[in-house]
Amino acid sequence: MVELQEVGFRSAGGWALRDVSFRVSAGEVFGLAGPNGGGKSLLLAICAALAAPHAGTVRIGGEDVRSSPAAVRRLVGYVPEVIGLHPRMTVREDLAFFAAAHGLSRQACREAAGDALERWGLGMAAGDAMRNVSRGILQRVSLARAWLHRPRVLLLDAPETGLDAEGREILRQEIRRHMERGGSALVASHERAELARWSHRIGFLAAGQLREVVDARPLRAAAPEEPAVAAVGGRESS
Amino acid sequence: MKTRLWWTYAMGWQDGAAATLAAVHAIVVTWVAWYVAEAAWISAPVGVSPTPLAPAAFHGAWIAGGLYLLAIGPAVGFRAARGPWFGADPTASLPLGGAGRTLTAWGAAAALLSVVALAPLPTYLALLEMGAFAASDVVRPLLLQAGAILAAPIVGVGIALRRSRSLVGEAVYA
Repeated sequence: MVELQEVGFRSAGGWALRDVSFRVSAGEVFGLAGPNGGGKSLLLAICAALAAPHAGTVRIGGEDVRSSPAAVRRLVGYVPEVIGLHPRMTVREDLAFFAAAHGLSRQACREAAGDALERWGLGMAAGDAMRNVSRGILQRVSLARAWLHRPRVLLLDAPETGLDAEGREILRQEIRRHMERGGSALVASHERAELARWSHRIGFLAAGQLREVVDARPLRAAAPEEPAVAAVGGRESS
Repeated sequence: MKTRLWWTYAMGWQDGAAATLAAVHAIVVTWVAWYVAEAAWISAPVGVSPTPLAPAAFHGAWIAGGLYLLAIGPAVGFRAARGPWFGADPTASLPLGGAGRTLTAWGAAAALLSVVALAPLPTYLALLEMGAFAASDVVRPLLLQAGAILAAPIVGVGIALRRSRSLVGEAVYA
């Protein structure tokens, strides 16, 4: 579903990414770990068709990000590290706006926004202006936007940022639901324990190169268990 | 649906700015008209009626207004193209076309400038009443100001879309 072959990206300081290759199958979550500036966010931006690679190819659901960016954007749900918002829109309006931008009908927009508010625990904040909500609520809105159109591929950049325990639990559940529907995900995070819980495999990016790809199961077993995780652990499929 | 949304949100952020720009436009036009009219009165012989006003009062006023619209047009276009977003533009990752974004931003900027252009209407009516110009004299100023309204935002829209505050930049430099 996601296929990267010898991907390279040049920035002002040289190669920001070089010779990055891996595949993510349907129903798989691939974690990206590594130090700051390693290239995780850039790699996700390339997969979201926000930047064209200078070398190699990136295909999402069979669509090339360079030649078919619009098709790729229809397939992916992208959560950026930096959230952009309309300060005067309410949370509900924001979600309806993004649903409409994905081509949903007016009625479908209302339903999708209502469903997202419920799923992400945003009901209490539905009428609040975006400029007045907390960082954690903003992050939930950003996540809800990415899920609105039921994308086949999720690209999540530090999705746990600002989330409280309840928010992280919702995120885990939604990632699991997405996997169960056959979707795949690329998740970048600095929190290895959290990444190990979400992912099947984890790739370590440093200085723009994929150093190694490891099975996440041993890391998951070593990660400290959270009470909320234990509560849903029995339903974990992998 | 998309067009309606883009239009709504392209226009929505500009209310405060529109009022300010309109007020400044009215002040500029009124001040120039008053300055030219007063200069004509001062140089006129004692006992000459102040009306009809010298045509220069009208011409000076609309030329100043046109220059003002030309001056603010690029900035208005730039802000319209940047959109209302605080932080990185979250719509960059949506399947929306560049042509739609460009036309919406240009249309929103032109609509805002049209409102701003109407702000000195009371001054122009006063000038008409005082004989500074006849109704038939307004065709050329109207066409020239309409041209300024349509053309001035293009530069700003172009710059904003070429140097978009995109999510890519945030990702590359994060």
